[in-house]
Formats: sequence, structure tokens, C-alpha cells
Amino acid sequence: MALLEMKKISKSFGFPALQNVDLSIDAGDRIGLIGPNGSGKTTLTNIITGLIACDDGQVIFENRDITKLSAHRRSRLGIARTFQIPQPFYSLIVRQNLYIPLRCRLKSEEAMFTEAGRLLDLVGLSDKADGLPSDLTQIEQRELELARALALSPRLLILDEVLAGLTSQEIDGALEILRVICESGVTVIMIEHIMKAVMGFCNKIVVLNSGMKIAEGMPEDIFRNPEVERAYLGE
Amino acid sequence: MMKKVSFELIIPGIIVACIGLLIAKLVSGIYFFYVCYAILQMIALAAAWNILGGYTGYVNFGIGGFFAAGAYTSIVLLKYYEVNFLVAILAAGTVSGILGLLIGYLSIRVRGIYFSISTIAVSTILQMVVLNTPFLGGAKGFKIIRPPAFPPFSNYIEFLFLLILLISFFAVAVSRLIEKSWIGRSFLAIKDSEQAAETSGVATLKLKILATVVSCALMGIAGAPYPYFITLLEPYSAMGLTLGTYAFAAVFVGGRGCWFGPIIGAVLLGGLQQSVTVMISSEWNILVVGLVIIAFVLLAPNGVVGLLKGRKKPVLLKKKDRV
Repeated sequence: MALLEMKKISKSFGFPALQNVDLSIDAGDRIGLIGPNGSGKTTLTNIITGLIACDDGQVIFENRDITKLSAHRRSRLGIARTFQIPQPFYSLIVRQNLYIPLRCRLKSEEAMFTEAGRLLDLVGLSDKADGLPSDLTQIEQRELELARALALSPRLLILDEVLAGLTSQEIDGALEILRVICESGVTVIMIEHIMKAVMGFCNKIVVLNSGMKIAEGMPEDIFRNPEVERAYLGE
Repeated sequence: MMKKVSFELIIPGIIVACIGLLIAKLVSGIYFFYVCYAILQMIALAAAWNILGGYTGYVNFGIGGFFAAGAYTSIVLLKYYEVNFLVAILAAGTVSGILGLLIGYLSIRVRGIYFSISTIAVSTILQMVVLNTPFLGGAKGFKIIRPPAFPPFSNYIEFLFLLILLISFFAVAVSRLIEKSWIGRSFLAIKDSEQAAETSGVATLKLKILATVVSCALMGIAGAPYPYFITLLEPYSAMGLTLGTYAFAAVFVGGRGCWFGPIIGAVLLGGLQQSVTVMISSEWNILVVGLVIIAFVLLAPNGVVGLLKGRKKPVLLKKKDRV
């Protein structure tokens, strides 16, 4: 049974951003969502998380039609995401940044404190827990994004270019964390330009171009697909 | 929760009331109470404004409108229906709260300057309504004769002083309760990134409307005793931008997004305003207050609290944050 199903999703911002996109994701999948800039990856993410409404189509999560559901209700159902440009809560210390999503499932401050500590430990930010997000580096801010998304205890985690700007070694480290997350039963959609990471991590790749899905399949097949090559490199 | 409320509201409330009574007994000059009333009213309005503007970052310029809605509700009830003062205060809060709910529902989906403009519209519309409704006094307004003093007070202004003292305490206590709870944290999250808050499970629309309602209701409550203080309630002065601007400025001078910022700001700004009015003139007062606001915006954008706490502490706005 599919965890997330998208049927004939269309969205227009005056120009068609997405056209009739179908997508089916099974529990436990590690999906790589790729495509050139402006191909509709972030729009698709926003439609899954509910930040924007689609003009047409249906979003089904765990057999439930969530097309009309607001973003915060979706996040409580277990759809979490990170943002391409980190959006930490600057007025709150790092630990309290996690309290915001943690409050959806934990009630006592002690429980939140413990859980926030565990998550910060997982992403490697435990020594910055009492600092302000503005004192974190870009990369640390992205780790905070990840921890905050995980705090929802998600069923589906969407990572919007979480690896951008990392060195090769750091990417390996980050992928290690992501593998741990996947093994705990989280389904991941990864939007990424770093092909090495996508190839190494994902079991299925979806390619968007100009708002249309042009290919879907195993990583090896995708890179032999002439249409994908055309989309990236031109005729 | 109930225990917390009684600890933060009721017990300190009784203490504040006792101190107020003591001051009313000990100080004999009437002028002193006028000055205190003006400053305390500014604290109440600033603390109320801070709940929406300081925590969630939605700037409300319609303070005068919500304040006057409270003042008019209370005077109409007291004058025509001769209700109890407490009932009038509660009704004032309710009416302004409902107004806040309306504006919240209609316009809080738009952020930034658009929301601010729609709040100015509210106070302008209210002013037009009052001007054209004889029942509400029209342009002439209401002339109010203060009732005679009753024990333990030797002058009615002492009673008004105690009332506004309790109201401003209540406004500050409510904003402190909010700040210390998950609601306050969620408000700050909304200010920093509404998208991230929403995808972190925060019901942003609901909470923004809650902030608007609480903030506006407190402004209305602060307006309830105002007719008896001013003794001539008319739409131009009650709903003008001046009153609101001072409250707004008090938050900026004190420090936004922090429950005691409005107290510091209102005491400094209100004190300065009163002393300039007495020592120089009331025209100079506006100029001096204006200069102080400019100085704070340029030199200490986080207000006195920002200066005291330094850069590192949370729960404060950062310089790079937009208003």
C-alpha cells in the first residue's frame, strides 16, 4: 500500500508550474526528486506539505485524502520537511526550536527536553543546544532544520537540498545519519543536485522537467534514460 | 494550569491592589494620580500591543480604535444603563475582543504593512461611526461628571488610579503568562517563520487570531475607565493616532517581545512626556518624545531591554528581523 499518492497534480502561477503529475511512494522508499532549476520540485514539496494548494488533483496520505488539509494538520499526521534556505526560529534558542514541533506529540517540558537532547545529539548539535540559531553556521542551521523535522516523528520526511554546500566527507556523514533515520521506518523524499548522494542513497528516482514528470525508476535506469539527459544537457 | 494562573494573577493582583490602596492613602496631591494614570494606561496599552506586535510580529496601528471601542462601550453602559463598573470593564473587553476577532479573521492572512493598514482602517471606520451616531455622542462627545468619592478614597481619581493600576497589572500578567507558555513560543515561531511554524505543527492562523483577540480585548479593557479620567470623551482625541503612537513607542523604547519591556518604556516615555509638559510646554512634549523615539530606533532598536540583556539572549528581536 502506498504511503503517499499524488494523482494528476496541477499548479499554475500564471505559467504551469506542475502539470498532471502522478506520484506514488511506498512506505520505506528513499525517493530522489531531481530535475533542473525551475522544474517544479519545490512546488511539489509545498503541495505535499500543504503550504500551497494545488489547482487540480488529489493528495492521499495513508489512505486519507489530505488535499484540503492545512499544513499544520498534515505535519501532525507525520509529514515533515526541511527548507532549502534554513528557516530557524531566531527568537528561540536551538533547543526550544525543537519544542515547537515536539509539542505536537509530547506534553511535559521534561519529555521535550529529553527528546530535544536526543535529536540534537543525532544531528551533532548537542553542544549548541542553548545557543541562538543566528550563531550557527549555514551547515549547522541545516542540521537544525533536520532535527526540527525529525522532532515531528515523521512518517514521511522531505529534504529540500539538505546536502548542498557540504564537502564530500560531510556528505558521507550526513548520508550516514539519513540511513539511520530510514532504518527507523521513515520514508524519505530527497530533493538534491548532488548526484553522487542521490545515486548512493535512493532506491527510486523521479525526474521533473518544466512541471512534468519525465521519468521514474531505479537510479541506474534513470541515468541511461535519453530524455533525462536531454533535460539536463539540452539537445 | 489553574495553580499557575492563581500564582501569577490572583495573588500578585491582591498585592498590587494593596500597594495601590496604600499609595492612595499616603499621597494627597491629586496631580500625582493624574500622572500615574497616564503612565499606567500607557503600560496597559503597550503590554496589550506587545502580545500581537511583539510576539507574533503583526504591527497593529489601530490601538486608538480598539481603546476607544472599550471607552465608548463602558460609557454607554454606565451612562444609559447604569451598570456596575466591573460589568462595564468586562463588556469593554468583550466588544474590543470581538472587533479584534473580526479584523483578525479578515486581514491576518496578509502580513506586514497590509495588516497594519487594515488596522488603521478599523479605527477610521469606528471614528466615522461614532461621529455619525447621536446615541454615541456624535462629534460633541460625552461630557462626564465624575461621581463623588466613596470610602476608602478621598477623591474619585484615586479610585480610577487603583482601577488602571489593576488593569495594567492584568495586561502585563497576561502577556507574561503567554510569554512563559508554549503559546508564547509558538507566537515567536510565527514571527520568525510562519511557513516553518506551520510545517512544525503550529496552527498559525488560529494562534494569530488568538493573539489579536487577547491584544485587542486588553486594549478595550484599558479604555473602560478612560471616560471618567478624561471627563470629555469625543472621537477625535480618543481614536486619534496620538494615543496609540505613544503606546506603540513605549514598546519600542522598552523592548519588543518581552513582558517587562512595555513597563520600562511606558515609565520612561510617560515620565518624560509628563515632565516636559509641566516644565516646558505640551507642544514641546510631542517634539521631545518624537526625538526619543528616533534616537531609540537608530541607537537601540531592541529598546532598553535589548541594551540590558545584550545580543546573546533569546526572546528578543534581532536587528536583522523585520518589524
